[in-house]
Amino acid sequence: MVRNRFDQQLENLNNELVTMGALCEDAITSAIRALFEKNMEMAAKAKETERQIDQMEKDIESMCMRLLLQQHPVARDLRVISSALKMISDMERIGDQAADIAEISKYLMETEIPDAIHLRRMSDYAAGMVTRSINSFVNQDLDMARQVILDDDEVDSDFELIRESLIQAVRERTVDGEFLLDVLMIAKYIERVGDHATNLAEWVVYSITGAHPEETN
Amino acid sequence: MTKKILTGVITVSMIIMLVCVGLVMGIMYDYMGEKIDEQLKNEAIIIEEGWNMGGQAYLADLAARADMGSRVTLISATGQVLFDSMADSSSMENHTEREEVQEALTEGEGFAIRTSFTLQQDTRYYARRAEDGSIIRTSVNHYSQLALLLDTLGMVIITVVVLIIISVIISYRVAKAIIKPINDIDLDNPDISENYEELGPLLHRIHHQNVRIKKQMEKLRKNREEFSIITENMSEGLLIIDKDMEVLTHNKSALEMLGGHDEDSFDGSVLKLNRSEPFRTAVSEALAGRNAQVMLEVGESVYEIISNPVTEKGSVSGAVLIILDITKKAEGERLRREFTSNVSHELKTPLTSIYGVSDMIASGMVKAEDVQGFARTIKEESSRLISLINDIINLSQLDENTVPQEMTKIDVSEVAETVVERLSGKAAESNVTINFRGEPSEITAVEYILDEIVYNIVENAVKYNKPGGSVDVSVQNIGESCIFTVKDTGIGIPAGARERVFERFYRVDKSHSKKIGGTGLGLSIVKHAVAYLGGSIELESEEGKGTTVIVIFSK
Repeated sequence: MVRNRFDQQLENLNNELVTMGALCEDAITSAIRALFEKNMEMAAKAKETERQIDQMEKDIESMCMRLLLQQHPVARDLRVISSALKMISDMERIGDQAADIAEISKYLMETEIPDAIHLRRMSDYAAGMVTRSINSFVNQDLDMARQVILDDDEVDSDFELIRESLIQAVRERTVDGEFLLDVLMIAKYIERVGDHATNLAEWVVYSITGAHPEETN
Repeated sequence: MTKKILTGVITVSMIIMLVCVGLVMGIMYDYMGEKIDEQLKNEAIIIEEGWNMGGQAYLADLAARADMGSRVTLISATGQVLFDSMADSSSMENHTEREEVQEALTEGEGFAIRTSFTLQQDTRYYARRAEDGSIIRTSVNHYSQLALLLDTLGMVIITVVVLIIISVIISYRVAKAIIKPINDIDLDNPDISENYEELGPLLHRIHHQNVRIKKQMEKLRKNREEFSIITENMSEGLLIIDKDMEVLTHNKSALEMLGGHDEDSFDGSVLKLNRSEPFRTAVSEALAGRNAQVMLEVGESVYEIISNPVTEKGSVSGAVLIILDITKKAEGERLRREFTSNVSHELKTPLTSIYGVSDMIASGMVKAEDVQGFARTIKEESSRLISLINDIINLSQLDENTVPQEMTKIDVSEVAETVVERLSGKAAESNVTINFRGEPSEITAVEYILDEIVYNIVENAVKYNKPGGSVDVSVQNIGESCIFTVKDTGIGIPAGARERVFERFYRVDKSHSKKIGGTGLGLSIVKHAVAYLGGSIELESEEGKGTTVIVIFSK
């Protein structure tokens, strides 16, 4: 089978996106491990992965620009490239959030997080959403992508729950205020990771159907 | 080919046609010219005679005749025109310079042709010197070659068209007739004798190549089949990828191992199979031209991935990935590590107390009357050490299959009865009754190993019993098997621990192990010993109600 150059380039773009997605999974998993297992190495790894993600964002962006300028893609090809451009910025944000979580977790190495079960559940769920949105991209699975979009509510309600319990802790003055703020920040970052995973899934839906999920649902 | 033959035939017939027309025109023209010249000459002779006899009057009469086609001119020897049948002679110029006149003056007669392009006519002249020296010239107009051609053009065109139609029909038929046998050649089995002789070498060649291609295809098919049989039956996963990470070849094991893809075929990027960090490292390292070996965890399984670059002409053109399932090896590794740390811990505890007690005695801190008590502690701890080491030796012998005794025929019920007797004292201490019921049942076994099995099981049943409880030991023959059953009314084993009780040093209740005694190796020894004798062991238990252990030996 003789493939033309454009198909080859699109395939390369796809590979790069999958790799970048995998790096995002690594980053968020490392950040969560750094936070809950008090593992400094993991924190360092999350930050290193974030640097790689940033580099990949630049590479993929210029790759997309080259494709747009040189090949003048139309129809589905154009959608794939334009959604790739959007996806990389969401993935880059996931990398940033992971690095931020890792940064804060360095200050929490010595302290036990109160109500850690909720935060852990929320983190795992958000990380799972990232994995599933990348999976839906890899397998071009429309149903899975739509499910990820729906699942964002779960993370949002978890965030509300954690916020409530932190407010409670502030009222009762049981825990140090600075520490509570750190936990709140982490919860917020994780909530944002969930949002970006949702965005990724939305772009997957767009690249397959050509319509934004709001229009299809 | 038909088209070529068609155009060829038409071109040839056109060329022939044109050449013919040209030739005919030329020949006709020349022939006509000669005839006209002859006539002119005859006319001139007649006129000369007429003139000789009739003089000027004859000429005037001749000019008056309307049906006279030729033009007659009388020219004096000086070139002056004396008479002309078509024009006024007085207005005509001197004719001495005319070619035919010159010739007539010098040679007696002369011919000339002059062409008028405007009229597209040739005028042929004949001049003749009369006896009196004057010159009689006759001339006639006739068509030039061009006019002749134009005049006959209609005919020529009609002929050409008819000729084209005929040649198209003929050449079409001819072409078809030539092509048909070529079209009819069966290229798979060309019959050389039947067709054109000229095509012989070609057909021969085709036939040879057909045979060669068939052989090569067969060989390729066989190779591919062999390759797929080998790879599909490999329990190791195999992936071959190109330099763009595209999967070229894969086997079923590879797809099963990496994320459980059931479908038979898979194409696309290898990252679709797995995109975890170690896997990506293996792929990118191989594509960068380096060998790599990584561990990959998928679910509960552990895989080792060995990736090698494939180089062609010095540059990397792809990679070969082999995936090995090392789950069991990794598990074994873990158990060995645990065993080592358990053994050292178990050995250290009695040794520490022996060291502590003996140190106190050595430094004289112990009163003489207490020495005996301390010595008893040392004795107990050493005997614990000895039994522990014996257990470990037993286990390692069973593990390594290096049991130092031969297999003999032994009656299981006899062994069980002696064990029950040996443990009856201990049972009485714990207020447990042991009931034995058995029928003679001989199996082939190593005596001390069988004893180890029976003793350990019955001892456990006594140890982990409740005061006032009972232990039922029985030996039965069922078919070709000997069933040894120990049923107790003891504390039972929690559901989660049932799988693990056979592990080395595993204790269900770690806090009471010191009180109950034992090394934690008993059931592990039993499991290995039963396996060594070729039997099987089953365990049924309900927490708080009791445990039943069934060992089945084949006779």
